[in-house]
Amino acid sequence: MRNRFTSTQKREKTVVIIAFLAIPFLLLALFSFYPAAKLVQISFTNWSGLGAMEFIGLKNYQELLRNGELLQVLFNVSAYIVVMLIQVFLALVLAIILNQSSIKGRNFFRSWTFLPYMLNGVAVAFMFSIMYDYQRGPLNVLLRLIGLEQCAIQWISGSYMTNYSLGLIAMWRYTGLNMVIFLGALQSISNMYYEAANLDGASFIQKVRYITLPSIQTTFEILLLLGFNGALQAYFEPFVITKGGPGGITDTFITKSLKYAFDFQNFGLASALAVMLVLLILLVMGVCKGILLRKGRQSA
Amino acid sequence: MKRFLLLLMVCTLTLSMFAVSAASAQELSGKIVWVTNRTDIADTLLTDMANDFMALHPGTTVEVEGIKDVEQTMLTRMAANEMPDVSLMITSKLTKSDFANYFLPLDDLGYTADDFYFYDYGVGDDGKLYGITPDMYTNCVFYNRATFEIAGIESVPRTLEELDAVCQKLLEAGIIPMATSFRDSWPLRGWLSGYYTQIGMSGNADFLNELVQSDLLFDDTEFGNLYTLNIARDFALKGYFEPELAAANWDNQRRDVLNNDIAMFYDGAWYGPQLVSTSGLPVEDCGAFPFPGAKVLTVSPNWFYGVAKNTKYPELAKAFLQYMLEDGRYATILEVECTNKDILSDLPGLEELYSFGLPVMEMPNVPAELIDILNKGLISLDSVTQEYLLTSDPQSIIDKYNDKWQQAKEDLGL
Amino acid sequence: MRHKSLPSMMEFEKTWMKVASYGLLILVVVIVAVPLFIIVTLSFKTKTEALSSNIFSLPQNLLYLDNYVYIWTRGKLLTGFVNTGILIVTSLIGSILMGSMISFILARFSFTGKRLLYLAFLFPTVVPAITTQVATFTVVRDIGLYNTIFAGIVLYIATDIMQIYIFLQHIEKIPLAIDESARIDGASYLKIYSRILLPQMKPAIATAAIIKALMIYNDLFIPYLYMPKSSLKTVTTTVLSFVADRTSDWGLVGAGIVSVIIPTVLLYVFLQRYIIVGVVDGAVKA
Repeated sequence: MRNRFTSTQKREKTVVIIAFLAIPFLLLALFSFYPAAKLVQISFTNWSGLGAMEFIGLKNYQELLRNGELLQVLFNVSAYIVVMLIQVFLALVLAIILNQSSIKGRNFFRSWTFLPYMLNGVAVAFMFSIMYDYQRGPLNVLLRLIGLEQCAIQWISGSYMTNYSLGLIAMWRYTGLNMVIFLGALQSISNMYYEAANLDGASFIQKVRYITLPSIQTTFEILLLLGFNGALQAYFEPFVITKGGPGGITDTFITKSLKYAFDFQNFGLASALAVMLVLLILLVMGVCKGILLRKGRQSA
Repeated sequence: MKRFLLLLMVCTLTLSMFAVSAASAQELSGKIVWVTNRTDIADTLLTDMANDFMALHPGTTVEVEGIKDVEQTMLTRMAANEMPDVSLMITSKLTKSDFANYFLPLDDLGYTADDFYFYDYGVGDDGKLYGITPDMYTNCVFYNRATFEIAGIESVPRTLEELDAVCQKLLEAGIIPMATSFRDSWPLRGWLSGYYTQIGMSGNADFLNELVQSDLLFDDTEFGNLYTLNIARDFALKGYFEPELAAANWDNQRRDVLNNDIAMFYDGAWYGPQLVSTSGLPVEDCGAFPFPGAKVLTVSPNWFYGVAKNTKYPELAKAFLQYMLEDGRYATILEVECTNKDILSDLPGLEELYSFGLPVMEMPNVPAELIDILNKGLISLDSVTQEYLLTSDPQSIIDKYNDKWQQAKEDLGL
Repeated sequence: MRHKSLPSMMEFEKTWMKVASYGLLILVVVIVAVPLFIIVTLSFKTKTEALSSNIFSLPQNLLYLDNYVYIWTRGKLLTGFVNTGILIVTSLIGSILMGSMISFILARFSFTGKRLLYLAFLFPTVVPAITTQVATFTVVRDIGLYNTIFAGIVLYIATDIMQIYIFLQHIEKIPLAIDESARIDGASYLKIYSRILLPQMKPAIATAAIIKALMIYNDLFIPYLYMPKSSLKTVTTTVLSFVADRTSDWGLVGAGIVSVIIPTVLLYVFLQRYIIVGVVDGAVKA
């Protein structure tokens, strides 16, 4: 069969394609490509946000590596990553539980767990600043009631542990989301496998290990990827509650970048930090995708 | 005859048109935006002030906008060429050569250094005036008289030892001696970044210039940066500040002062009057004393105002600025000290403050080099204060920042 | 997809597992519910009551509405809702149109560079807007959108490509045969898109709309940076600025939080199914 389309049809096609994609592509170029390119450009200058931009090569990157604040931010963000890992694990456990038909009130549990995801981040942050209050917050009040007076934690202290407190807020918000996604994946596992396993007399743990987990591998990795992404880009909670904390102890990539730009008038440094964040995200994505691909090839 | 009359009519009409336009050139018109950092009274008292101005000049509109993170927002908007007509001028972040790029000269308003304190802060490097601050504050320690009574303290401290004793007594009475609002950062400025103690105790107006020349940010200069930081740290260790220091914030502080749970706050003479007018602190409880041992009473300027360079209505903007400064109008509404040299402010606590008989000194302008060094070294003095108060290894903080200081000076070639 | 009622064969064998499971579930529900309960009760307490009384106690007067009145009048929450509403409606229309148009082209047409284009649209997911904000800001400023509501609209439309996936998934399910028979009948591509495909994509549109609306409603970032003018405040920035100044008045904070989350909670109560399904679909197939 020769050329399926006549030339007028071809022209019509081209017109449609261009017409439909022109504006989206323009917006994309303007607000995604161009800023990304500009970000890289600024990172090689000493722009203060006002006035002229002077090219200074890799100095900003050298500065970042030298002044130790990059390490500090990484260290802070790692607290979020730890919390995220716990959260994904917890979500998986909850999903497995809720996948049982013998559990009563599954809808109720599912609804409640998912609810936090819907709520406004700022509102949630304020809510937790009350929860975390040393004297009157419910957590400490409870602890005192049980007589564990000394355990009353300084949730928002000036120390590194504050990062965990902030990370826990994210966990409160996102566990339900992850759980629901796991649940969806679990429910698409064919029962055939379980039946076969039952015939073989497999225990519950064995069933989970050999059937459930492998089947949801993709979902698992995607949620991990999203989780890493979210943890690296954390800025909400520190921004509202501690503003980066005393001496940058709760600073994340984003809050620090904002500080460099607006408090120290160093957009160049801020951009360099942002570029490093992007590189880190790409690295994480690459690693995850790489693992995915390899596993995919193995099972194929 | 007819033609003559027609000609006469046309002439009269033309002439009267000129007359009208000449007259209206003297009347103001247009719409301007005026920003203020006082978001709490922007919709009330400040809008009233704007309305009064509009009543005097019908046909004009003045829109009041409150902004919160002043420095960040203003810098962003300057970079975006989105400056409000009557803008806050961030003198701490702008170099004098920048003034002309963003603001209009105000020389036609006819002000001189004899009219206002801190006049030279607003002068650009071309000698023209670009900005003025309507208000200022004398640096002092505010104290809530009721708390002193409760603790049985009979006189205000005049030396550091007496201050220490006062704090002890307050602690025994179950009152927090000194507030810091630690988490909000800026209220810590009395202890380092405001330079009140350094200049107040020494009386040395050259302190900031000497600091720029100094190799170290923290050294053993008498009444230097390290000296004042150590006082703060000493207080922190003795428990004179809020118990959960890291969580202490401004809003809680206000509540606690009103409840007589906190006694003192070290910043400026604006604090007591503000509590009196906005939060109902009884006037008789509002007291102030100079930092114990100070040789001079330093006065710091507050936010500066200027007229944006690309404002559409320069005449109106300038007129409004004038209105703000006239008779210390803006300062009076804010209940703070006005910078008009011919007016002596009368606010709760000021009388007591002046009764100590100390000479008054304008805080010297922060040299541009100092700002550059601090920016280059990524040093935020309030942040340093926070770290120093919390750390268990104070020397490491000192060393860290001294290194940053030296590195920054080296990078800048100073 | 919704296999809710299909019994899974991986049931618990031992009782202790069941007990532990219920325990965990109940714990989770409590952890979710308690903060919300506290916030709601706080919003009905007076300032002094909020601070002095036990945090777990019920308010003395359940109808103490002063906090809410204060938030809505002084806090100008209404302006916030209006602005957010405008943003949501316009951005939704724009992004759904765009998303469906893009997915139409990507699904139904083949042309050179299509693969490249596909990757191009993937770019924002890889380089999140948050990281490039410093540069995006200069773009917004140079175009003159800073501090106008268009900054928000344009940014919301331009930078969320999740929609494309949702639409693509859906379009691929619609058989190509429908397109072709319409072509034979002489329909233009535009007609195929608007009269045939678009109506069929209603479920996908609904899902995309809900997710996008939610995201815009809860967003802090874009209004804070690009539309700081007080007349343009959204719900989120209003709450942020108003409450941040008054954190010692817990009653007020509570009322602010509740006012903000009530719409989403209501939305959730009624549209829970769609929301959850949409989110799951979007993620599982991404």
